[in-house]
Amino acid sequence: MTDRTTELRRALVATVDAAPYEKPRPRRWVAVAAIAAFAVAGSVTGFATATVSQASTGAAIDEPDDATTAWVLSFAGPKSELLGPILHVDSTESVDLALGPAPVGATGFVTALSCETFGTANEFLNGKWLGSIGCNGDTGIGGGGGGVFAVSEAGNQTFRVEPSQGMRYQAWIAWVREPPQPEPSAQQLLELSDGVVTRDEYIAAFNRFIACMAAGGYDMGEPTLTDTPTRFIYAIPGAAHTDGTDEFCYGTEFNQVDMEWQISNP
Amino acid sequence: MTSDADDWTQALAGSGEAFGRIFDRHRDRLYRHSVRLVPSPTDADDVVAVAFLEAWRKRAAVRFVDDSLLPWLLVAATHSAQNVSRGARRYRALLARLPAEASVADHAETFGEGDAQRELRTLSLPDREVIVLCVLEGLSEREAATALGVPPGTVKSRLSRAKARLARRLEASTPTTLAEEAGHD
Repeated sequence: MTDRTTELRRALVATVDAAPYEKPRPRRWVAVAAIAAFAVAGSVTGFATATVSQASTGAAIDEPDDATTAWVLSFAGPKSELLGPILHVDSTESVDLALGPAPVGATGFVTALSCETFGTANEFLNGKWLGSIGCNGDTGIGGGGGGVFAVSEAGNQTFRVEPSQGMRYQAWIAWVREPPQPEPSAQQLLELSDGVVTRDEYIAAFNRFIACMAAGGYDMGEPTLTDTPTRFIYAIPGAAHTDGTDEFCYGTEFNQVDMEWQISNP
Repeated sequence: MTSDADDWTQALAGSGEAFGRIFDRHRDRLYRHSVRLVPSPTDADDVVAVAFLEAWRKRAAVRFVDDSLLPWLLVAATHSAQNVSRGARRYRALLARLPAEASVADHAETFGEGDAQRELRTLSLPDREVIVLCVLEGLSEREAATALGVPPGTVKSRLSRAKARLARRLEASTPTTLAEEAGHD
């Protein structure tokens, strides 16, 4: 391995190590060899609303309990907001869900799928394959996943689920508005402007991050500053991640400085 | 041996070394892919770096084909090669710190440079995507479709048109064809 390749690898590893946490992403993209055409069967059991215009096969618009709503929202970013009802499907067959056009303010739609038996379900938007979610002996029944999909085409949107033979699944889908990603503060941009982050800048950015968290109601205690390498060791309250305070404060005040510092000072 | 998908899961959980394993697995092939798309080996180095950095930056959106990240990386590299300077700008601080490649590129890495390769770089991005994925990299239409996020039928029709356009551009130049360089069609 050449010096450049070695250095690039080290920088990539440091970049990943520097990420303070990751929102769980249980969705796992797996391509399948062939997707057979599946005759749509069943009757229309959904009913029209302003935002989910029609549920077209074995689907219903539920009044989900709080736990279900929270689970669906867990696949979107903090402070995301559902726009309209959650459409629910419990089926062993392929289902087309006519979502209608995106409502004003929607940044995409969020899906959550739960495997009730082993199998793989493929998902499509307007005929375009989005991915698949599968449950096998490793994941167990009851596993699944979800995520947010942006809509790039105007007009009516149709989401389709195609399960493998004999698989029973439940799916929930709703339009969602995710908050915009926080922009770096002017001070953080200034610290990045010359391409080099100094120790003082790293500490200053961290202190602004702590102050921002405190303003949001989260006491970060007394973070430890190690010497070799220079690093702050700290823990983020789970609630601060859930309500988006951490994402906002980290993105605004510390994220890019933190990355640059840790890459430069492994 | 772990798969890309397994390593990716570990990387998202905070393991940089897992991401390093993905890099180890695909760096060389990505470089050979990139060197066809840009004028110099130095640019290819940057294309490779940007592709991996983009994979991490866009980690919520990457796609796997049969548990492999390679097709997605190939697409990312093709996009990056379209405008090396723009892609590199985002990561200028990091790229500037990487040492320059000391050795001269291996002949095997530059073999095949000819009219076809030069003409390839003049194609539109959509045309170039399907040519490099389906012809040069040997992905199936299904694999390319998954990586590009388009239906397989779109890849098929786009590939047919792209090959026709490339063939027309080569008609008056050289007997060496892209398919011959790649060894298959």
